[in-house]
Amino acid sequence: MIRYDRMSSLFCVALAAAICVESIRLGPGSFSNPGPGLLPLGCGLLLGFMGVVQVAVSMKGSRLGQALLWKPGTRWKHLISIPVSLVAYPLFFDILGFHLVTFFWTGFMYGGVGGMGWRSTVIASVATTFVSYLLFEYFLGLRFPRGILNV
Amino acid sequence: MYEMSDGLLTGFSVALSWGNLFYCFLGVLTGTLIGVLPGLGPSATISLLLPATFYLPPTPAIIMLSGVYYGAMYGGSTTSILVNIPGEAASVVTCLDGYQMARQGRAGPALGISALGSFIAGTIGVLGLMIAAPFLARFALRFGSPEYFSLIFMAFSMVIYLASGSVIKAVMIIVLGVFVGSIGVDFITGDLRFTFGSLTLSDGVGLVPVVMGLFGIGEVLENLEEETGQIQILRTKLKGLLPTIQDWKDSLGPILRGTVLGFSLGILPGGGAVMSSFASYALEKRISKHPEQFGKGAIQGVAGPESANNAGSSSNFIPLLTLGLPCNPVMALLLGSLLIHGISPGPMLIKDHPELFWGVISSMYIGNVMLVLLNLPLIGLWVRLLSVPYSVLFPLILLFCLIGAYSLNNNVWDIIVMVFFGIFGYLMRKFNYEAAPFVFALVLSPMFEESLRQSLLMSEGSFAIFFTRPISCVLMVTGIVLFSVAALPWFKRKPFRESQ
Repeated sequence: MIRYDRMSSLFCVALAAAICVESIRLGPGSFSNPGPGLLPLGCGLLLGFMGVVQVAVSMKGSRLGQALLWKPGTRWKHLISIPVSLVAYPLFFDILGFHLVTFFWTGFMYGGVGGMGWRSTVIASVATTFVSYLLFEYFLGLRFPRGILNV
Repeated sequence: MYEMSDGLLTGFSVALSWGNLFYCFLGVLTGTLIGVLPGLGPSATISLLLPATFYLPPTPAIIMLSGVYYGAMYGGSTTSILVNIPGEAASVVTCLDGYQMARQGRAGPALGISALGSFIAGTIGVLGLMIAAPFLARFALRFGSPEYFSLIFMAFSMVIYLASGSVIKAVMIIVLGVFVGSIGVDFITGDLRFTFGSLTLSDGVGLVPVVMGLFGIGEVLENLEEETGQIQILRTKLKGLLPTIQDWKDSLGPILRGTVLGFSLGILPGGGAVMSSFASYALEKRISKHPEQFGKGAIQGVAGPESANNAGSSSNFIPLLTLGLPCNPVMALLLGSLLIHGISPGPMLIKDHPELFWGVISSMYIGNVMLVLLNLPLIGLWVRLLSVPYSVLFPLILLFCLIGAYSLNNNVWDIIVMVFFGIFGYLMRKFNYEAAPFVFALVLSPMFEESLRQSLLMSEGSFAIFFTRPISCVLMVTGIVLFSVAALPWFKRKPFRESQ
């Protein structure tokens, strides 16, 4: 893990630097009159310090026995398509409306990611959309966009 | 004593109403279900259910969410014993002896002692909660800003001390959590901090999208990254669920010791069901006359940890209800739920909202009875649920996350925040950072900052204020000692191990 610890720590050091810059802009004030930037500045400094310590520790580390973060055979298709589809869901929310977008999205999940056959996918998507309508709209009274087709 | 009996009467009159009985049942049923199903823990489930509870009054909402939590502790043992896969983290240790008992044809007694031990520990735990909480609440009335700051500092040190991995990583993740918790409007000056012009972020980073992302989406991504086979359920006859007299003789001591240990550890910040179950297993093995039998089907190895995690799940409520201090992510979500309903947990909760406090406690007694009735006769049904393929389960989890995040404010940006923290949570798992301390720090961050700044204003910038007030001094020194104890071995040890 040592190489990966170094990577994550360097990221934290960079993040800490950005936090410190913005905290100073916000104004840390003084100890007797603390400003809005005081706590974030403290967080930035401590995060940066710990990141540097972690990097220093990992520099001395043995390179033996390093485990791979992602093993061969990792399903990258799923790791990329799921977050993308989660972001896409709200983008089509207003255009297609809750029911249609839920139907298509669950269809993609069951069929595209889950590997179901097309018939099972359609049945599962219709059932999930119907159940989510019953649960969220009918019983809990939530209001979702209907989309341009007003479905 | 009169106050307690009066409170209990009030509590039972609240908990025994048809509506609250229904929500209690729904909670424990859902808890058992998610406890049985691997890949979905109580944190993710409660965050999924949280938006739905906004439409309920606070008492049934908390009764239901609490039921999910302690219900999951019951349900988790089923998969550990029959499949050798823990339904949730607190049941990991039950696999060691529970599965071995099942392989020897003693699945029934293992499941039976697990359910009955959980019932005994859960009931004693609730009794302890009922006795300890009012005392602690009265004590907490003496707390001012410096005491709260020192208390949170001590809690952070405790979390670092109990962190399973690297101390540096634990500190980093807590600092990051405090920072993320500070995003939004500054409560004194009204300045916007780190919002980058986003209206959604000006209200701060919401707890629910963060938890849904970290525990819901993060877990799904981790589960789906590799090909996993269908779960193999051990084909064994579930007979003799009621343990024999010998089983009881062997288990009674571990159940009682596990209860005391689990209850004590459950009060500590960062402690909880997981630590309780591991500590109980280690204790039982150490004091046993036949430690060599552990790992080979010793009933003590099931009775102790299962009792400990249930007692711990009861005592987890003590710091939340009396100090407003959540000791784990589930309690943080319950805190969020209370705040959304306009209730601030803390020393005044028992006085201001007795129906909520005593109603929730009384519902736990009722919930424990419901759980025994659900777990023993229906074990066959829970086992069959394990055959639901993950390809059916994960789209439902993700859809619930999506709708749950959106329904918070009818705002798609909450979904974006959730997805961001989902990816963040997945990467945290890959890089060996723990998600629980992050959530813990995120929740406590506003209280931490407020008490720090108010203390500094009171003392005109002197940090001595934390050491000149007795309660604050004790808490601060305890925090420093805990942090030192956690950090010193790290500095002394050989910095690198092959396992790192």
